[in-house]
Amino acid sequence: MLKVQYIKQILSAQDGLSFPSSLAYNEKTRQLYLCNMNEKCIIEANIDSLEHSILSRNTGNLGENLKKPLALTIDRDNHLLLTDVIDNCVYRYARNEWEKVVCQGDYQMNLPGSIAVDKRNIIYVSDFLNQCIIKIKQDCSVEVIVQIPCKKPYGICISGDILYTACEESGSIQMMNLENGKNEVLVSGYNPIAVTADQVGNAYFTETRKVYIVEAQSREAQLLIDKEMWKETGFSRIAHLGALTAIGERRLVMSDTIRNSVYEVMVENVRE
Amino acid sequence: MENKNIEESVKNIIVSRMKEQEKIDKLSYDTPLLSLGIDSILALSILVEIEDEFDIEISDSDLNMDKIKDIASFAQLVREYVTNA
Repeated sequence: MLKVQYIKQILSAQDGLSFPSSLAYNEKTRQLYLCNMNEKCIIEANIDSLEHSILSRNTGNLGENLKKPLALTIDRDNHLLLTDVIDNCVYRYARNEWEKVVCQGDYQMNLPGSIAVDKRNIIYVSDFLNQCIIKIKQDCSVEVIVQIPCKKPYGICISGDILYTACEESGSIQMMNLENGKNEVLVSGYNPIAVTADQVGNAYFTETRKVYIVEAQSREAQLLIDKEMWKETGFSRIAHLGALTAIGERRLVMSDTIRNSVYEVMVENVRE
Repeated sequence: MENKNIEESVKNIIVSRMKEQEKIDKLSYDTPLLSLGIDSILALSILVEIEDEFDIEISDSDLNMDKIKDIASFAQLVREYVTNA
């Protein structure tokens, strides 16, 4: 049986957090990146020392900065990618500024709420108000992924060859094999917001005030955190678990967007 | 707690989050929150402050914009939880 081994708060409002809306982790550099939406910036923090700093807000246009960064990921070249929901585009961080990823054609994103990158460096975006998941290929052409029929796509993530989608409309976590294009429902009957997966294929997702694990083998959702379990931690009541990222096997970082708090969670396998 | 107190408290919390005086002046109990520029995240933030104020905990199933579309519906939701607490 899986249960939470520990939860520790690693960043808070005292560290300047204001609506921490998205998380990304670089396992090579051991740096955690956090989208600090209200402050319109990205915070970079070392996962071990928790020393942190703010990245440049400059978007490369004269005198302009990020307007409303929402979602974050890291590409295969270790560049940060983020979505800005005022500019409705993707930015890539290079040379201390954010460069717009200019897409070919007429496609216009509308509230790009989540972003992920596959092993070929193809970018996937959860385009909420356009009610679809899109991919931006290496030639910057845009394609709608028709195999994922979700009209309210929330969080997405990629682990290996699998694209996970939290679909609020159907209340499901969907998984699509990027090699063969086959999409299926992993679990359903929930109100999922954020989704992530660790390197051994365990998936994790949040509802507003809960966290679940879906083990790779069983493919059954198990509740890890709810308000009753949270009371034992002594932390302020959970408000909204808007972001989640795996930083190791059964090791997660999650953010409470409203409480301006980021937590590390370790899960262990306990004999019943 | 009296109905009027709950509605006043909810209104005060919402007003404290609004920036535009013009919209505050026009605010009534049935003004749609969306028309005030209060999006879902801000509405949730307001709801959390209301939970803390009244020492209640709204269930996940009630955490949606349909139930908190204006001050009156917000207050109604709070009243249900205060009454059942």
